Amino acid sequence: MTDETADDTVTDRTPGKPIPEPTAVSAPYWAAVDTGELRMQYCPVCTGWTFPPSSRCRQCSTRDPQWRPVAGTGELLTWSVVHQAPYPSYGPDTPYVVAVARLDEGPQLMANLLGADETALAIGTRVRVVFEERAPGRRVPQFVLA
Amino acid sequence: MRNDPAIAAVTEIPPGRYPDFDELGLHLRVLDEFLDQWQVKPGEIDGVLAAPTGVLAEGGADISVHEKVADELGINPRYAQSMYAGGATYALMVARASAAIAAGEADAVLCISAGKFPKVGAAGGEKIARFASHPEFEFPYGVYIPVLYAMAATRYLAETGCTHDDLAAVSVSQREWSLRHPDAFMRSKGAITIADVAASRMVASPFHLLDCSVPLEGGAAVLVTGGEMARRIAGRPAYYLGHGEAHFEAAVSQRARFDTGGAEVSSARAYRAAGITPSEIDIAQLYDSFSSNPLMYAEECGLLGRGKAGEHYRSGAASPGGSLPINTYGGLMSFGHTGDASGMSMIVEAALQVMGRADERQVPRSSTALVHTHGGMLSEHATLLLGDRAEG
Repeated sequence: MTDETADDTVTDRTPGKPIPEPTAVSAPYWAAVDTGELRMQYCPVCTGWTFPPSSRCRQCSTRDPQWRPVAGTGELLTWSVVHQAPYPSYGPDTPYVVAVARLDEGPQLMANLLGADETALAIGTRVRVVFEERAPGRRVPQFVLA
Repeated sequence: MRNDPAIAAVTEIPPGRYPDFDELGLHLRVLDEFLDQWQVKPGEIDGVLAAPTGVLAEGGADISVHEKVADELGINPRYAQSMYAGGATYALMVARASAAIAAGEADAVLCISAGKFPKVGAAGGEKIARFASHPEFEFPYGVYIPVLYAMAATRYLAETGCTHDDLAAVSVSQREWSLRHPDAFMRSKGAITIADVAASRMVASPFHLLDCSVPLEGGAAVLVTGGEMARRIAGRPAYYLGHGEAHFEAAVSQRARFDTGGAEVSSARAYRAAGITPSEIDIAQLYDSFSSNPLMYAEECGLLGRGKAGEHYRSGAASPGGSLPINTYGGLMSFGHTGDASGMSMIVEAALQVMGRADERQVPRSSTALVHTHGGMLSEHATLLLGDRAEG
């Protein structure tokens, strides 16, 4: 992913767009995202993935699963086209798409699907992750069509 | 069950706006109405189940509401607590109360709810969005309650081939029922058509405004007692036949399945507990935050085949005079959604129907009722079965 960092970053500095506050457990996830890389926790014991981050593997309860890069590609599980925003910073984006995708490694991720023709969406539509810079050095993962 | 637990009495105040009452004040108003309406003395009540107030308030929740209700009644209960599972709280209260009565831990348990939906203004909308979503992995994406429910609705429509007309038919049917309920908030707005629902403004696909419940304030009380006391109070009480519950992932994005709301698990447990089958159900009250919920729940509870609920609604079979009436009080979309108290409304209605006290909207054959409630963002499920005779 690192080579593609420059291409995979979009910028949205709309004031008030939420910037997640990392916790002790999720800090490595957000540190990677801020550098344009998607990392999730992999358990070498059971080969399961854990997301959202945890101090233990959610499949087999092994301590301290390992942070590993994931490809950032996956398929659409479901979505909604939002016409009424819950807070002002998303107002200018309406209508926008909120989507849940299953990454190819298995974990599920929610994000906005950017720049998509919403009438063309279907279960299984391929998407990939890009990184949206909301403040200097602070990014969130987003989807675009693959 | 031992002691034949039954709902002996129900009271609900009309959903609306109560600017002069906070949530605790609304509880006391519900109590007033309850004691006026029924021949029950506070001293006969020895159990109280309540829910926290102020779940969305700045100062945090009050989690000892049961104590305040007991104080107001002037009783020292031998069985009491406050409990919370969102909209599923109240079906679980009736189940816990019934278990306590069967075990001899209480004789008469008052289950009470009162709630206010925060105003969905700029600040209120953000507060509700934060409450409903994962703070790091969902909230940052312009997500709030309709969007989270849409995740299941989109998938349901895609997999079954049902359309927005099927969702709209639920809104139409429930409005028709609400015209027969004197306290229904939307009664004064009159009947609506599928075209009206489709023409109302889009909120989050597939939901238009008229696919959404109406955020209001209100509350209700349900008294669960042993069969003997229930027959004295009500004549024909609504017996507890059984319940089932299931609790799934709190974060919608992490749900293992989007093709179901989750009612198939809790309803299967309820049928097993009660020893009855879906074919024995005469009426259903299905929690309806949005129009998609009753469609999915009618199928998941085994009352209709997969993808068949839309046709059931469009043919009028869920409406007055229909073969399987659903949400006979108008539901949260037309009766009103009383904040965190809303999960009581469908229990009150199911009990009134079984007791034969539903007046203008009484369904002729209403011996066995199914109530399905959910809490959180489709994460907590409780199915309650009530009947006009005790089981086993």
